Amino acid sequence: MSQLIYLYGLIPEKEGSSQPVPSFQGIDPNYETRCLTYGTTTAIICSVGRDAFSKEALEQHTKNINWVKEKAFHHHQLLNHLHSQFTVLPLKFATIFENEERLYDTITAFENDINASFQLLNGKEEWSIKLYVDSAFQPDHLNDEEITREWNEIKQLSPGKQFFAKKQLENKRKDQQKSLLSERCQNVYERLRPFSFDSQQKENWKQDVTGRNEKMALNAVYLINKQDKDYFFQEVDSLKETLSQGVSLEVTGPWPAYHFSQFKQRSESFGN
Amino acid sequence: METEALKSRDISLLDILDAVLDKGVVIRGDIMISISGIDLVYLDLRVLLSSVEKLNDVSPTGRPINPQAMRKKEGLTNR
Repeated sequence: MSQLIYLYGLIPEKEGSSQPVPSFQGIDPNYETRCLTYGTTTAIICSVGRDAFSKEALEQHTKNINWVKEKAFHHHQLLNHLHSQFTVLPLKFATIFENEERLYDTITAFENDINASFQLLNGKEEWSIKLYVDSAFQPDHLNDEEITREWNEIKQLSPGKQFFAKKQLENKRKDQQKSLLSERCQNVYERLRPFSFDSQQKENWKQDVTGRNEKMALNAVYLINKQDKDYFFQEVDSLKETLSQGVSLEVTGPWPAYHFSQFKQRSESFGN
Repeated sequence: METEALKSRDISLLDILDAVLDKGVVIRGDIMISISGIDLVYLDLRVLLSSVEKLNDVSPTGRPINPQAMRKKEGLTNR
């Protein structure tokens, strides 16, 4: 039975024809990666066996975290490598076609979107910024006078009422701390935006996911013009100097533009 | 004891999974997987990490993973 086609990503034909595209061992290790060019687009693909990449086989494999980790890493590493040399549209993991003809039909149908994305991503790369907050963080802008006044008011109450009033006040403090922190994170996010072409603020990952003692307080990605990268990092460095005790900023990248490659329209409407 | 390098690497692992499983361009392939409960995948990954490997090929600052080292580790070889 014929093999399936695994699609990693797309690069502009112009770039693919002006320098050799390297070949790697594929996601199915029995095959090498290769290029298929359709008009202005070169698809980076690999043949894959049905035994491991049919819908049924994938459903089984994706229950195995080791398999997912290994293959997802491979997918990323290949795109990362290509991204160091070419403008790359990174495809979502495990986008598979029955045959080259089906791939051709799909790429042709998306041609305008693909070209628009190539234009958008040309000369750009993605960087991730995360802020973490540990227990040493103490917001220094809480109003001390207000705190003292409120505690004094509580002391005037009967013991029973004091109990509830204290609880209420503690909750209020926690809310204030939270909102101060979120305001500061928002400031960090906003300060970097003018140095980027585009940006996205993502959901903060919970501690049981990150396994860290610190709480994630900002999870953002920026699309940067490579030629403006120095300005972006100067601002990152200057932000780092202003961070309160207990707050740390971590930068990772450059990434293929995973967060900025989605087509604006049609991606959901193109049928099976 | 967890080292700083290991922590940073953890995040990069999560970043990678988040990026390739949940982001990237969606072009309707004939076969596509939908991994529901991405959070659960991350949690499984954490268990895996804490039980399996000691990783040290990332700088303590969380700067990019060394692609050479990663390629070697993941068996992605340039032929």
